[in-house]
Amino acid sequence: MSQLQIQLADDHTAFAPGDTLTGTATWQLDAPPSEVELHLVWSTRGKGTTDIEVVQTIPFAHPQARETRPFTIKLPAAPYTFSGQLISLIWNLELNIKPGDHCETREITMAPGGQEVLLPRLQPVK
Amino acid sequence: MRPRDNPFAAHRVESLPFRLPAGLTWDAFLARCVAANWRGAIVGPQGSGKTTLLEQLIPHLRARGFTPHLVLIHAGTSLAEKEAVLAQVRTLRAPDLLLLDGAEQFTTRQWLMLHSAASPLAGCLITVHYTSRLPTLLETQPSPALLAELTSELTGELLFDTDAVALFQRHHGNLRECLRTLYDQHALA
Repeated sequence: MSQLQIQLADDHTAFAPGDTLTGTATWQLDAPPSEVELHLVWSTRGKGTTDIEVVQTIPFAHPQARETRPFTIKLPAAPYTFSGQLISLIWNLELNIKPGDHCETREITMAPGGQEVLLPRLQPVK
Repeated sequence: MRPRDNPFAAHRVESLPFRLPAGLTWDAFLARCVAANWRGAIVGPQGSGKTTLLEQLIPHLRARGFTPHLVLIHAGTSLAEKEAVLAQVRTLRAPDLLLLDGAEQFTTRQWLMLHSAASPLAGCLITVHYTSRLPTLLETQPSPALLAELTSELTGELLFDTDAVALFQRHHGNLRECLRTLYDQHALA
């Protein structure tokens, strides 16, 4: 049995570019894992191929079976969380544990004012 | 509707489990692969789920001790990229297993070289549009009923039979294109 959790300070999930994000990663496993990493990732959602980029990785050294570790991440300047006509871009924190496929994801918003940028819909050419 | 919320967004479609033909289980399909010494072809038209099947085979192969290598070839793949695939395959050995999507994109000469290079591997499973290259392990079978089933799973709503048939015919049985059209319809809703 495994339990994973990503807790953000004050439960904040909305951030501006360049903000510093803090929180804790918790895992409760039956045995010590070989590898625990927290990834900051953006990816696209919508029509067509999904793009994804791992922007930052925080490895947790010498993990025990049950632990809570703090983390601090300085967010980059871009790209913003947005939704347009064809794709949305979303940011996630992903806690990955090996061996196995243990993964916990926590979505955050990263854009000016902490608000998703909504692009106006294009009007068809008449 | 935001693209991320569209039920036909690519990441949702890609997460749909492959529907094996009626009466065929994963265990039975894998038994076919074993009987064929893990060398064979998945045959079907464009957009019928062949790539999805290859991708969803990966955990089954890993569980059996193989190291799968998925290579995606399409009409836009250059000669240099194909030669790079061939060079990579020449470096592989069992328990490596090649999953080659789009094998018909190789010329007969290129295929013969690739086939020879793949002989030290634990297996070579390919997708093709028509029976060729390797013995057929499975034929994908797209249908309006399957389109309706996938749509229902993505939206929780039923697609009228007449709509499914019309969409299926409009895209000549290409389920991927059918689902993209439904994406556009939802995006405009």
